[in-house]
Amino acid sequence: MKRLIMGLLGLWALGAILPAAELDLSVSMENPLLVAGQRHVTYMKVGLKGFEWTRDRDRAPLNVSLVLDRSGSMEGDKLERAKDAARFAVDLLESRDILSIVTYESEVQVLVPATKVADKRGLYRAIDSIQSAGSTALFAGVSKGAAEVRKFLKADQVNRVILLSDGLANVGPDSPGELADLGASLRREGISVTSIGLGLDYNEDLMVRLAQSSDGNHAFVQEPKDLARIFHLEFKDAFSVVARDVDLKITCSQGIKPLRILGREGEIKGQEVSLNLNQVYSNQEKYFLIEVEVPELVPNIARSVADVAVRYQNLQTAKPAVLTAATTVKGTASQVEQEKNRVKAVVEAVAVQKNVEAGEEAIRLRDEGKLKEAKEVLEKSAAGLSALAKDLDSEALDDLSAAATENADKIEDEEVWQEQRKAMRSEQYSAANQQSY
Amino acid sequence: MKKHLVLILALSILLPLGTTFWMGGQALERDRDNVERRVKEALAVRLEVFGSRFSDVLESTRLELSQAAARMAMDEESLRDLGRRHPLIRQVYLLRGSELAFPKAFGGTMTESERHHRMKSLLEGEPLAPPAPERSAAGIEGEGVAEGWKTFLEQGTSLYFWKERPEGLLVFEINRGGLLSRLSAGLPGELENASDPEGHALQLLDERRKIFFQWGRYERRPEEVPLLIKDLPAPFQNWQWTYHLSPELRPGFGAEGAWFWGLAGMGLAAFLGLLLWYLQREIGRNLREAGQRVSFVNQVSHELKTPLTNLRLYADLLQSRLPEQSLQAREYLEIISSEAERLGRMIHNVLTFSRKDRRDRPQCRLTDWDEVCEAVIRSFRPAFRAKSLRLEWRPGGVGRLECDPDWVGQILANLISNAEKYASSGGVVEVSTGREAPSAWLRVADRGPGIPAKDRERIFQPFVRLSDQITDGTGGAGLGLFIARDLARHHGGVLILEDSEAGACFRLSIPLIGEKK
Repeated sequence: MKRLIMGLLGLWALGAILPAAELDLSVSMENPLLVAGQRHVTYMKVGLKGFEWTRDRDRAPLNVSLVLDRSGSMEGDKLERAKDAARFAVDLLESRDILSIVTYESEVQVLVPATKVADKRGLYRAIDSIQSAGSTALFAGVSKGAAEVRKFLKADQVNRVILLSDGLANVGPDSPGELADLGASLRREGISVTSIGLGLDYNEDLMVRLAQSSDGNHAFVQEPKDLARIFHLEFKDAFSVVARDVDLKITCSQGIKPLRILGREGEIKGQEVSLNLNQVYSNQEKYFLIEVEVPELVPNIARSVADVAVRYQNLQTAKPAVLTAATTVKGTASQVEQEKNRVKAVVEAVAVQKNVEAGEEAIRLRDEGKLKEAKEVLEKSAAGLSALAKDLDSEALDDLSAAATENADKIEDEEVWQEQRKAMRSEQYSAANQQSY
Repeated sequence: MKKHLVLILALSILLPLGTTFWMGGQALERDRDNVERRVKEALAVRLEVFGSRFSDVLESTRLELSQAAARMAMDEESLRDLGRRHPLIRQVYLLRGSELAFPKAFGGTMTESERHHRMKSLLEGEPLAPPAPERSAAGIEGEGVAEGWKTFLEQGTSLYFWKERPEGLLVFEINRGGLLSRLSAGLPGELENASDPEGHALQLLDERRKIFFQWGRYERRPEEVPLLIKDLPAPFQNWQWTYHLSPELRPGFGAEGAWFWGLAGMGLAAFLGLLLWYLQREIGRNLREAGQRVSFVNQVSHELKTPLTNLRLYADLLQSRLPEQSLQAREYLEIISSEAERLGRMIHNVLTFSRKDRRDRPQCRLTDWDEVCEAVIRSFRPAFRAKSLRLEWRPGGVGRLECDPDWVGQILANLISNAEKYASSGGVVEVSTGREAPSAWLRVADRGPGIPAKDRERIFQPFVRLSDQITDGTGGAGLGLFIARDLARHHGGVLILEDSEAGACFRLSIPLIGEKK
């Protein structure tokens, strides 16, 4: 027994002495070599990868609010599965975590106010008592959930609202714009909202905007029996958060002009690009793609492109940390050289984001009734991806091309459109956000 | 007659019924109004509480923004930082005069001129009242400086918070979704003592009259008017609270109440209808039977007239044939005649009563009043003699006048007949006549037991006879006085019972017309 204790103490001491893990910041250009003498529009990828917890089975505590839709449309199997998933979530949590459960229909009820997960039986009982009735006051539900999380808001824990809804919000603000406003506001407080859409009747634009603006996850769950599995993935994600309040500032060098950011929200002001993430996950990379204009280069002369500074809250050390990196480009006389040196990861990432944009455009056209045009956009994207996949020998791009083709085939079918639109939105968001599931 | 009876019966049932219903309805209506008023009062109290919660969140937000604005360092970095970091602020602006000092360039979906216009109108913002003294104790910088909200309702709703600083006008464009979320979260989730969430709904409506927040699940019908409406304070002055109560839960007449009262009313009406029908049938039957009896009597009486006429005729003939010496026989014959006459009078009365024999108007001719009376008296003498009664005749020398001798005769005959039947104990009956302008009269007075005070009017009603003891063995249908008075009236005169110390005294007066002495 004594030896065991000594051994553990040793390990702990070791962990304390070892340098604390850091986020892995990487900045790379799509084309580190660019043909000299002409202007180029190219892409810069700024990636952040989470570290592994150095101590076994350790994680930051969670401060989470489950916001469950119990409107009349949830009656029956849907609600039962939702309750199963909620009980499952309670199972996963520990006494260091804070949980609140909010249910909503026409009214909002705080079923379980924010409390440490100590009395699991009590929580099960509360979940058992949920019944369905009424309409869908989604905004009020999310607001109450956020208020519960706000009660114990702390920097060194993961603050999250997990929203489950199966229908259209019809009480309270219900436009994607208003929900996006709410998401943005919560994001600034350090609260992310993960939106889980159940069935075929919810408003996917609203749910995705809410997740996007608050930097949460989004899932489209068609069958109620899949809910538990999705909850599992979501909580696994939440347990793996290693850093929070991640602020990136990319200062482009003179002559380099930042044009736009692909796939994410951010601010470009002059030479500065400001970006933000609410959390970074262990062993997951989240990246930003910045489209930049590079002026004429001189062969073999390197030119500074940008300096990147990242500030974040390290959840393992519970301390703020700073990272910096920089990147350059070099001129080359040879087009071949430019091509040979292009960075596969960045090219792939760019292709993925451009496919996302094509998908968004296709949905927009389809919504306007322009079925043919929508199909063409998808087919064009699929073709481009296919060619690029061959070129790069990229399996990922191949899969993506196949998916785009499938979407193109289905997009004119009226009957499956409701389902397809949700699936497409979900895929797009997942890709833009590098969601783990 | 029958129709009138039914109508009266029906009215006498329906009128009280209707009145009861109407009064019941009034009472219920009053009750309902009372309860409704009390519900409204309770609601108003509850709304006070909710409204104050809303105001509290709004106020604390305003305070937060005010402090942020007051403590703001006015350099570009800080201004941009606040616009990026604060959960409720979307963008920060600084105006100097009518110029935009920060940010240097406009962004967003509005055109430059639109933004400019908006900034200008922000300069005319409505300031709040100067902060209360307590707050200055909290040490807020810039105390006593103007600040306020401003709402724009074009292209959706935008909300701004502004505060005056020495450096210029600091304006925050508010993340409205974030603010609405705070307000929403601050409202209580459930109504206390919510008995039936299906039956009511307290709603907070935004400027587009969309439901922002709701308690209760009741879904109102399109045309339904809310039980209560209350406005909110600025900057939400275009919002309102409304309360709807399901009609089923409203006190007083609901669908249930109406059903109950409707059924009860119908039941009552049905019952009364049955009663009415039954009564009408009974009465109808009684009337029919009575009618049958009357008609039977009339028929019989009519039949009797013929043999009676023969009786009298042959009695008279025989009387005229008898020799002077047969005094006894003559006497007997007189009695037979007199009785026959009496029988005739009775039949005449019955037939008069049933109007079969009677005319509605007197057939007047110039007649000697006293002679008419004397004739009648003469016909009674035998009967009186037989009963050892005296019949005294005191004519008053009235003379001739226009009258119906048959009617006058019948009246007098009925009076004398009554006296004979009921007042024989008095021994004497006096008949007198006279004249007292403007009428002629005749009087029949007896010394019998008299008429008790309570019966003085009753005796003139048909079929009324005073105690049967007196008339034992005498008969009489109780029609005499009724007919006499009736005839007197139709003749234009009166028949009255005069006051007298002993016995009864009847007087007939007929107005004098065309008299001749």
